[in-house]
Amino acid sequence: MGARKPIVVLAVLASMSAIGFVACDDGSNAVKEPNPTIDSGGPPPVVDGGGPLPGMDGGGPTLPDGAPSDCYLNPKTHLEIINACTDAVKITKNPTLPLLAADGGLPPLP
Amino acid sequence: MTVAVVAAGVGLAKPAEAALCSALGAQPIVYIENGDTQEPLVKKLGAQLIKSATPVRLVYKNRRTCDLALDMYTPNLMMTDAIPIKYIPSPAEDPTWTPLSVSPSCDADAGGVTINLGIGATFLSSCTNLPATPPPGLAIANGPVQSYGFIVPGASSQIAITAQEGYLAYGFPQATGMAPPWVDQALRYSRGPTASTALTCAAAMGLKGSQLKGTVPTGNTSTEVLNFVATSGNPEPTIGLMGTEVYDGARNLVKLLAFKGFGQRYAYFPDFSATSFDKKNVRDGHYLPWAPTPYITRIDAGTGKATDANVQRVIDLVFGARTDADVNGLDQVIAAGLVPECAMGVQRAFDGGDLSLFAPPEPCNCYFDAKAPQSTTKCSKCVDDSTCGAGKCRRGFCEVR
Repeated sequence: MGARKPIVVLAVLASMSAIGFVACDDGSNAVKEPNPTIDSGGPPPVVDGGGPLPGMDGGGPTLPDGAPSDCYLNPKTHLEIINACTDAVKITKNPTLPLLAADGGLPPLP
Repeated sequence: MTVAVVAAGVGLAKPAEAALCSALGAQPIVYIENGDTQEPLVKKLGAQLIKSATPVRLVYKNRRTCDLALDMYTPNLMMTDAIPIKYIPSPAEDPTWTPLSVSPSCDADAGGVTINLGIGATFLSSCTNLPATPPPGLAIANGPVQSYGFIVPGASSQIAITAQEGYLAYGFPQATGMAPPWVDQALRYSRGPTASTALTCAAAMGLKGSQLKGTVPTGNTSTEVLNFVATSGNPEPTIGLMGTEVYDGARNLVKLLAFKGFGQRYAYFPDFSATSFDKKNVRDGHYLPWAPTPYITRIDAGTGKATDANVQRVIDLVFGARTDADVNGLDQVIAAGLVPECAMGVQRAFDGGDLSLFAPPEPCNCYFDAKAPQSTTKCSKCVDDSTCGAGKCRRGFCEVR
């Protein structure tokens, strides 16, 4: 995957970040990265900003009752597959990286 | 590629003269060049093959994927040189040898020997030294899936890395990427740009193998990276690239970080958790640094099979197309930490490429779960389809189809 694709993905995610959501996962398997001195100190990158994940049609994933979700129950596309609902251990990590662009895009290599 | 090169006690001088591989015994030999991540499988399968009622000896050389592929494409011969040629000893030759033992070395015939089989460990499309299509008479089949990851010392407090952190840490020199704690280039261990580990990990970070900045050990081997990371006196900024099946055999020495890809909400381990071996997240698409292992061999144009019947036997065993009474290749694949295609639920077309859903023609998810180390399956056992409802009895378990 080249550097350009993530920038597009991040831009899409940024456009969705203001929408509230209710997680389908209760977080019981979510592990918070314990390294506040290194990874905290600023707002998280937009890609992990807490908004719902976008569907390819512009809508986010939903629970069977229609409530928005942070994971996909019936994934089909790449973005849905990598964010599919799972009971596996998951780690929350939202590092502050100064070189990232405001939209979360990657800087060019030196 | 900007790299520092350091020594890890791995000499590059030609080893002391050993016996000729061709004179070891009467067993037919399959000469293999394989990525060093595939050595555990070669040893496990070779241990069964040498003891088989119809024995075959595997003689192999660890080689970077793009280099071994070029050897097959050219073709080049296997020579006695700085990289040792190893072989699987028979019980008569060494009754104490196991796949966990160091394999003994032998010498190629004067002038070299034909390499029968190349086993790479990533997409050959990532190799910049190869033509777009293989030469006539050479076939490439994608074998079991190999996953890769980022290892840190056991004393490191880190448990996850994001693709963006990897891009900044491995794509920028020294601390200019500002991706703490990985800000010391000397402690970011990598592999050369022809190694599958470098190519697949780089792709997961949005980089090319040639763009990796870090420290490549003198011998450019997984073993060296493992040793450097495990023994680092400065754990926090130390990190290395590693095949997960090599890591699986060294979990007492280092930790593997969970990985969060571009566009992903959480980071995941290749397995269900940091302590399991089920490759769940590789199989369902939550863990992204992986690639199939290409099997490269010469084939007969008429049959489509390998020109050497023993090579075809090895391929069929590894791919699960054949099970001998005394050799079970699929079991060795799973035990080696690889994922057979029949246990995969996703696929991709090139390194770092998007995933799509995959439905193997003859799924083996239940069998994989039953055989993976420390894993169990919830599937029902069966002898035929009659007890599987709408499912299908495969390899002794009711699969969903």
